[in-house]
Amino acid sequence: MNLKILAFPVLIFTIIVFSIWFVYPVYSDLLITRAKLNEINGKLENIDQKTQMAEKLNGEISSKAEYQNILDGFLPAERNEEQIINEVNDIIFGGGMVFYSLAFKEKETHLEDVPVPSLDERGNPITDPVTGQPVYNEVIPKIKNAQITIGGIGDYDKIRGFLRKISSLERMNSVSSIRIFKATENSSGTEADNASSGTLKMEATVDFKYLDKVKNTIDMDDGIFTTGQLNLSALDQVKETRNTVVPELRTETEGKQNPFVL
Amino acid sequence: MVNINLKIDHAGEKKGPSPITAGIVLGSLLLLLMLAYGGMLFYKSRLDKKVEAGNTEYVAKVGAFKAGKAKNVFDFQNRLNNVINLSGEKEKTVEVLVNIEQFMIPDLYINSFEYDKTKGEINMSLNAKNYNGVAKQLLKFKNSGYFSDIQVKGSEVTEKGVKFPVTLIVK
Repeated sequence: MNLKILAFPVLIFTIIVFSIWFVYPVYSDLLITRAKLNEINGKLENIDQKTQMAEKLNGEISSKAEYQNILDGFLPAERNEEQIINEVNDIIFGGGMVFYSLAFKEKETHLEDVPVPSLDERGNPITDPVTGQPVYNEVIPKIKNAQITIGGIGDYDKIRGFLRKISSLERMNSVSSIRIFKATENSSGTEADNASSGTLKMEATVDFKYLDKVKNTIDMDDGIFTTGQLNLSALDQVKETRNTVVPELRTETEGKQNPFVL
Repeated sequence: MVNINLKIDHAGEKKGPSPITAGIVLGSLLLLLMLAYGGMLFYKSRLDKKVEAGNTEYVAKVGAFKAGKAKNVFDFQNRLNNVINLSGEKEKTVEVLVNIEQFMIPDLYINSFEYDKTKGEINMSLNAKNYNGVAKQLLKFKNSGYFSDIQVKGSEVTEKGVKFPVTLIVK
């Protein structure tokens, strides 16, 4: 009888202890694991959608080769100095001017690439174990300038024509500074007063833009992968306004027996 | 003599469960809890495996995404964004020259012209016939509304007239 009386509270105690120490923690873990699974399933669905969107957009880009050409022409991935010299040369001579100097600036000033936090394979930001700050090892390229200083001689109309033509070149550029002065300027740098002389010298510093290709960073959260819309209207505008066409640079012959003679 | 009924009537009183019944119920409950516990442990281990497999799959998919077509698309979009920003930029140099042409008075000519787009500053050396021409030219620049500041840094009388440098800040 005593055993029967004792069994009752012992069972209740056991049930309570078992529930609190064993069942509840496992149940909580289970809920957390289920939430994790839902989260990972959501991420998988998301990456699948983005992959499909990327494939669709890539197909769209490939089918619009004309836009790709405009983009590459307007904003090339490299400095392409030879292209710049060819274009400037064509405009200078085509406009009846004469060169007296041409120089690329060695160190160009340009916007720094945009650093973005490095992500681990699961898409989580990598943090410095010591400081706890995000690690920035990757960059999204920003516009750079290939800066050239052009020295030319011609009258005012020709100089103005040169400026108009260069601003409508297919490749994006901007005249960052210009100096126009009488061609009769003397060696000390002061201008000789010659009211009737129409011949002028021009020193124009022009920034030809370029943009490095994306190397290691893709912003997976970029809106393009969710909206799937390429806004090409800017390229239509480029097509309309950039109409100075310069013949492409080609090398006709290759090799020379004596490279020290003409 | 009054009869007092001392018999207690148990008919309306509820009987509690017998200790055996309670023991069976509680024992069953404990067993049920243990079964549930075991079931949850089993289910959790399955979920853990699914989470692990999902993570591995996600890592593989992210790798494939970054190395695949998305890179080309993102590069195209990055270029496009920059084109949109650049296409709004106006080429100021020609505009500045055209304005200077309009604001010049006939009795004057330019010896040298310098324009810095970053500073929005024009530095010119001008030649006027006389000081009246200098004053008229300055007034013309001021009335144009195109410049926010006009500074004359001096003047020099030469045999050709009055030579004076001027700095103009474009609005």
